[in-house]
Amino acid sequence: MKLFVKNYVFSEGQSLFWAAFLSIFLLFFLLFVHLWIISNSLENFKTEIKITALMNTSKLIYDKYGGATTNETGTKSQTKKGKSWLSFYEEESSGFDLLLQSKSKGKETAKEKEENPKFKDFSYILGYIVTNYGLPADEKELLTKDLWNIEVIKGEKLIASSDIESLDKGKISIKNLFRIKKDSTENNFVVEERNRGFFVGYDEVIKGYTFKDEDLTVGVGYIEKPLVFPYTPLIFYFILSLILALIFIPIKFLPEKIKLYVGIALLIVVALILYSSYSNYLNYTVYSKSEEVKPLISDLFKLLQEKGLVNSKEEFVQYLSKEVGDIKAISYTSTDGTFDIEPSSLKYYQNLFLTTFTLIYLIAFLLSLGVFYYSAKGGLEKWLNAFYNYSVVYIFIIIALLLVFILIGVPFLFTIIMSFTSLSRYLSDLNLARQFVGLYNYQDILNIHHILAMIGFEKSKEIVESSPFFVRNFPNFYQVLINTFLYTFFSVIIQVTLGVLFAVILNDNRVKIRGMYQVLLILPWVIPTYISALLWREALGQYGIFKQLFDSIGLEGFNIYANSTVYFLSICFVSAWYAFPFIMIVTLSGLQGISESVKDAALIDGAGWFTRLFSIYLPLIRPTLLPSVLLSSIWTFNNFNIVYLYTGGNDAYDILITRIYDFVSRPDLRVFTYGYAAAYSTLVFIILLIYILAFARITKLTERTY
Amino acid sequence: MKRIYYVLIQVFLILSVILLLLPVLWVVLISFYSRDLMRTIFSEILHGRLHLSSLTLGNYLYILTDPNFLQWLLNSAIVAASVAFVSTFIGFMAGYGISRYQFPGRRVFLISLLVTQLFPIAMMIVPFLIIMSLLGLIGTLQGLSLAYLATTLPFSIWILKGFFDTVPSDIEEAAVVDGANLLQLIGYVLIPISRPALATSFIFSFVTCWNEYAISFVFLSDVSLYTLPPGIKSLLDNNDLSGFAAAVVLVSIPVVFLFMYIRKELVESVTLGSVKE
Repeated sequence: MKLFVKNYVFSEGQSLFWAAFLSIFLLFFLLFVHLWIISNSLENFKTEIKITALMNTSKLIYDKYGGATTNETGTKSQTKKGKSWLSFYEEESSGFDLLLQSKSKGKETAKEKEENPKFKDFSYILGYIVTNYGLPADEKELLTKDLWNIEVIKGEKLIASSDIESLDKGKISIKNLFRIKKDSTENNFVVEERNRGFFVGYDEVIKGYTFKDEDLTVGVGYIEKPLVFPYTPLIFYFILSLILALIFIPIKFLPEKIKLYVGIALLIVVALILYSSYSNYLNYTVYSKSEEVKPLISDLFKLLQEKGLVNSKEEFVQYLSKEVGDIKAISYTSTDGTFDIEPSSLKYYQNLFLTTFTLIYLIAFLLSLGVFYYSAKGGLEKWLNAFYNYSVVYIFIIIALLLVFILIGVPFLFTIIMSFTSLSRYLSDLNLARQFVGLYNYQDILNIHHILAMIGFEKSKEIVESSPFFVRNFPNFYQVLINTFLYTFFSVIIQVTLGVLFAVILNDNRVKIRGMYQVLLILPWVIPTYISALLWREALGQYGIFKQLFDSIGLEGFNIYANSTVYFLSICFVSAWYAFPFIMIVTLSGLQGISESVKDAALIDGAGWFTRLFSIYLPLIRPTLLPSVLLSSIWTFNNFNIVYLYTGGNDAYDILITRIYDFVSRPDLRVFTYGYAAAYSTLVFIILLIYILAFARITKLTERTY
Repeated sequence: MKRIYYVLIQVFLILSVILLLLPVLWVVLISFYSRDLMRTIFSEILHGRLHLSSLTLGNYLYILTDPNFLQWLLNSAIVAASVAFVSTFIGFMAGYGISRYQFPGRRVFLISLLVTQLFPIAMMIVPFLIIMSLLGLIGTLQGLSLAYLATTLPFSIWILKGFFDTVPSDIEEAAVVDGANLLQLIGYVLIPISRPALATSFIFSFVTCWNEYAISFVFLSDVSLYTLPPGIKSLLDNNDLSGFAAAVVLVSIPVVFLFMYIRKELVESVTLGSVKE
């Protein structure tokens, strides 16, 4: 008898229509997601064209004036082969350097600088752009704009950020940024933009964008980021999807046999219509965005012509078509007097957007085909029936369901989504679409290019050389991974040895007061782990009991920190100290479950103590012991408290979990975005999943789960 | 021969228990002696210089009059108790529903609950931080409680589901036949019979929150809002070893007793998913 369960069956009615509707809705939904991502990326794209144009113009001016003022300090001039002109620009001498020099030399050079025609032209042209193309010109305006995060990094340390709320003491907010600019000219540090755009590294853009004049210098890179929500195309595609769903109504009148196949064929047609119309839209938007920059180009040309810096349009176009950093430039032609976009150059971007879309759409299509098939076969009715008949049950569990979904499901999905973005730590911009970086974080964590470069890929070598992200002086992912596995392995060995040993001893009825030993030996498991970790750290530390013990038996030089291997093993031991009682309890209950007859038979056959233990008892309790060892090893793998508090967060002994925690809690690691930390978490999740599945496969645990 | 063997076993057990529990013994000992004895307590014992008369409750008095410590104690108690209550109540409802009905989606839900138990909470810190700061709950005890609920809820559901699996549904059916409605069924039948499992779930959730360090350290930046774990850590950071010792003893004792009380159920519950047929 089932309490409170209704027995009602929904009739199979319009299933095919609803199936079509559901699957088209799914198609539309994923299309919408793409639309959202792409609309925001396109805004970036526009900014990028603007910036390449500006950068290339400044390069033109630079080249026209030829050479540079010699760099007197000499410290920064390390020219490397194959670097972009931009980095050359910074290192040799540039507007940036010019300012640095002028600052350090005092007022006289400031005058000199003003007279320097190169600087004047920079100021003039960039000033023109700033006032005419909506870039913020002064502090007041800058504050009202929605800005990308700006972080000031000196050496490896973050010393300033544009975000006010999440800053610790000693950090500077954007309100003081203009002061920072001035300071930075004196102290010579670089303001870097750590966010990554859709396919561009902005740090280089921002460094280059430092020429306007004294008030806008030193890497205050600001790029407007209007938040775009694609209303018009959204409504259009929604209506289109609805209309396309109506095609399915006539199917009702077809014979039963071919219904489903006709339905699937129609779905394919619908998907193709949606695809072609959307890809046309995509191509058009890419085109129109680049078209919007046209007036800027012709204005720039006019300015340069006035100054006599450029003679022909062809020459200007040549400069414009150069790539900046890792931004691919849009090239222009000037056939009929005006500036036109080179079709092949535009095609590159159109294809880029289209490829990502095609991939997403393909997955969406397969999904919606599945949904269609499932609901056409009556899957929808099944769910309706379930929800109606079991409504009381769902009342029972609905709160738990919702809470588990909100508190665990959402964060989990959020982590995975976040890992494909460069979401900044300061959360000033939560539009994930705009910060989509694909697999960049994973590539960075796994040092893919580093490995490729070692194998001998030329392109990877270049990337490794030019990227600051590979120069990190703390353990990389692989080191931490190996460390984690070694730690888990040793710790599990110790805890299983101790646990089984004590269980076997305490299983003997003739051992006196074994109940008391059992209670005492369980203590490590029940004492809070954070206390255990701190306790062991203190006990092994300078004034600890172990130090005193060793001193009294003559080992005065004893120092746990002296030898890294010993220290590492001590971490394993402390972790095992916490976990062995669990193994002990499980083994003990397993041993007590072995029937007397088996024990007697073993004794009569004359089996020795070791033979009995290893050939009879342990194999008998294997089904209980192995899953417990698995559980215990997972806990050890995840034992954040012990490792983090015992080592005091020491980098050299990090395991994967404590490393993730470091990204969040340690100020000096704030150069990493939340996206990076999320990607790290996701990788740990995958590793753990593989470990569990592998272990489960080996011990055939899966059969026994229910 | 046999006798010598058992004497050796006893010696081995005593030695290993002392060695393994040495840090625990040490911390209990120094919590009862004054600060100046702390650093040399071992040689004091060795030379027989440690007298019972020098026992003192000073450390306890000191820590119990420390307004910070009392505040941490209060914070921890509030957070742990409220999370334990909510988690147990929701776990009770869900555990009953899952145990009694074979509804669609049950298996998926159960497996996902089990899977969440295997993954560390440190992995969730990043999204939690973001969500909580969006909700404006960062740095508050409410936000912390929500994060804790995520860790304790799956286990509570699991424990209570396991409990209801072992109880036949005859009583409930009898009650319904006698005309009890849903609320009466819960109030008069289900809650009374599931009291032991409710206690286990409550204690486990309580202790989990009581002991949690990682999240609270990241979430709470204000010292007056600290819960016990970051608070006790901060005692140590300030080189206050005797205060630390007294605090550790005070904080651990309830946990140790509560855990000892539910230890059997706990071991059964955590291995339930993997061991039980």
